[in-house]
Amino acid sequence: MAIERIDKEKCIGCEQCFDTCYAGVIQMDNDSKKAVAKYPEDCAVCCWCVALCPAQAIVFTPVKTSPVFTSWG
Amino acid sequence: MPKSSRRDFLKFAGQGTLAAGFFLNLPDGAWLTADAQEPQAAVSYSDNKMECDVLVIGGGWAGLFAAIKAKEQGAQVILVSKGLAGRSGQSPWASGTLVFRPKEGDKLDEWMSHAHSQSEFLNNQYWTETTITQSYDRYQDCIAYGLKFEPAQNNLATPSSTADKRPSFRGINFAGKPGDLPFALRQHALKIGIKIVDRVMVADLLKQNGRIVGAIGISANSYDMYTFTAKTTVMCTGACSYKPLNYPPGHQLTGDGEAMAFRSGAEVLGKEFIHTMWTVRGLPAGGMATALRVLDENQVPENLKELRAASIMGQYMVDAAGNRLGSIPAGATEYPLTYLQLEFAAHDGRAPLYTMARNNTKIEVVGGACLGMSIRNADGLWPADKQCGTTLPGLYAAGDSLGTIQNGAVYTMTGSSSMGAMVQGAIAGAAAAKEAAQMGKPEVNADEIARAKKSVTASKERKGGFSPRWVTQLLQNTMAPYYIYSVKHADRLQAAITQVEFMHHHLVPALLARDPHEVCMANEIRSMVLSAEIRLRSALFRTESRGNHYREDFPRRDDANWMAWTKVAPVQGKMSLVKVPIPKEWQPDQSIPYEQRYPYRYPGES
Repeated sequence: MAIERIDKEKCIGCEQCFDTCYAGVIQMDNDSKKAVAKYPEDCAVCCWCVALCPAQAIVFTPVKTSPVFTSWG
Repeated sequence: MPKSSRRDFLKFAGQGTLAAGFFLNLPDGAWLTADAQEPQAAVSYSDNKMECDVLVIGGGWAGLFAAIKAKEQGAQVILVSKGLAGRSGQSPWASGTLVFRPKEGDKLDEWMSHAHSQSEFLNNQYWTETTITQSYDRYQDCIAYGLKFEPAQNNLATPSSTADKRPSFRGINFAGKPGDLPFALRQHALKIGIKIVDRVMVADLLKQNGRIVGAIGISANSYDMYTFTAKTTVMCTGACSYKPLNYPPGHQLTGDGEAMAFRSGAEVLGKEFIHTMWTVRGLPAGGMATALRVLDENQVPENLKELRAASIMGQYMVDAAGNRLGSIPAGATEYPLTYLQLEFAAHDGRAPLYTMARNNTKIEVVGGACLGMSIRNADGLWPADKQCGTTLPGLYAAGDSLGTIQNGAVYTMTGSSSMGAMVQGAIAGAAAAKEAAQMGKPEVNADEIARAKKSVTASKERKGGFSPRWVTQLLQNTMAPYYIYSVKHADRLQAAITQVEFMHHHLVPALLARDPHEVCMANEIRSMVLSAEIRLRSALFRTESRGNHYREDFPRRDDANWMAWTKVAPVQGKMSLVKVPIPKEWQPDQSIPYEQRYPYRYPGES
């Protein structure tokens, strides 16, 4: 669903995706120094992270689902 | 901005209207819902104080040029960006920029005449001419600052609607991979000593004795707050969208600059005109997956190849029955799909609509992709002078934040958005530096700082309320239907105004955030709701159709009453809308028949 996760084995911690993510979805983990998809529900499917990642570490499908719209939230 | 005559002012002042909407923040805690499942833990924000001569808010084409030009004048400059300056907003998505080259035969009077008629006579000609005539110098600056261009040929041209096919305007394409531009400007800015603060959202302005003296920003990732004080401020926060899922470049552009300036007393124009971009149904960002498009075929992950192919534009559009969309005015051989032709076909019950790809496959398309956005450069803060000053002392604006309406009611000059941002950024930065050089350090009293800080972090202080994501989805669902946003009518606009007013008064003052990311989202939806109300009221106010503003109940252009811009001002807690007449010498010749002045016919015109 849009960005699903970032593969910890492949990520080299270059921060390109963190630098670029429009929606603040991607954050750097302080311990592992690797990128994490912290807010995948906010992914805008712009594909920048996929285009810029030198390690093909971004797991991404071009499907965007929104939550069912409820009375309040 | 040329001043209208006193007679013009008197003639139009009586045609203003005070709308019932309130925009000022009402007391917190008035309408809280039941407590959230867990009480909110109190947090304390760090407080970072930063002072400068010129504060630039926003790090795209406009902001980077403003910062660089201010620094070149000797000012001490801080540039603060919600994302990474040089790789955020719409700026990185520009494929090229407008460059006027008189030495190669480009003629100013032709460009001005094309812009004037194609904009349906609503363009502010001072800004149109300024962008055109200063474009070459800014292009040279870009090269000097390290930006790369493709060879300077006719490779970015607006197709002409005239039979001889000569381009109406032309520009030059940028070279490089996604992420390259305007990143080179960032690197140059850092090299010359500009302080850049990334990933800090500026969410409220500081005002002292009627003058803008700084701003409050919050980090998107941590509980860090920034109090910026500045002699002058340049607002370069870009356009306003409602986070449309189909237009990723707009995702960060939630009209924050326009909203915070409006709350401080600035005026806004141009929000009745809408930007008409389409996207591919079922494949979000299908129309705009530009980031994938520049990759080589073998670099694109297998499951994204379809998305990449969909982002290649088709040749022409057809409806469900296979009829071609688009109209051809007399004397031309083809007419690009423009205005609201997709929306009119849908309204007529002719959807699903398709674009025909070059291999003759049909890809279903849907309009309204840039939900929330006006025609480029139509909306923004009202320019008070030729130096990009706004009506708020101490505040300048440039790029999409400044309401130059240089393209009028239709986006005519391809590449003028990025070039306009550069030109205005340069003007604003130099003017802001010049003014700053003539003044001492501003004083900001503690009460004003406390007020602004509270305004920005209120969503984190509550125990219960509404999620910014839910309110955002609600706003999108309210504004997205084509019969509200594009094919407008007084009844439907009023219905939407009632909804948005409720969001403004009841939901926004009760937003609930659980972490710094959500605090930023709360500030963003606050901006978007205000923008939506201004948009709906402006559309209700303009009782005619023109360019990318269509009223089903007023389907003709009405030059007699509407050779004017719609200005929205905060007046005593309400939104006040007035017509500001376009200078007489810019108005079209009424002896030319209506059908010649306006070749494009709307549905419902007799």
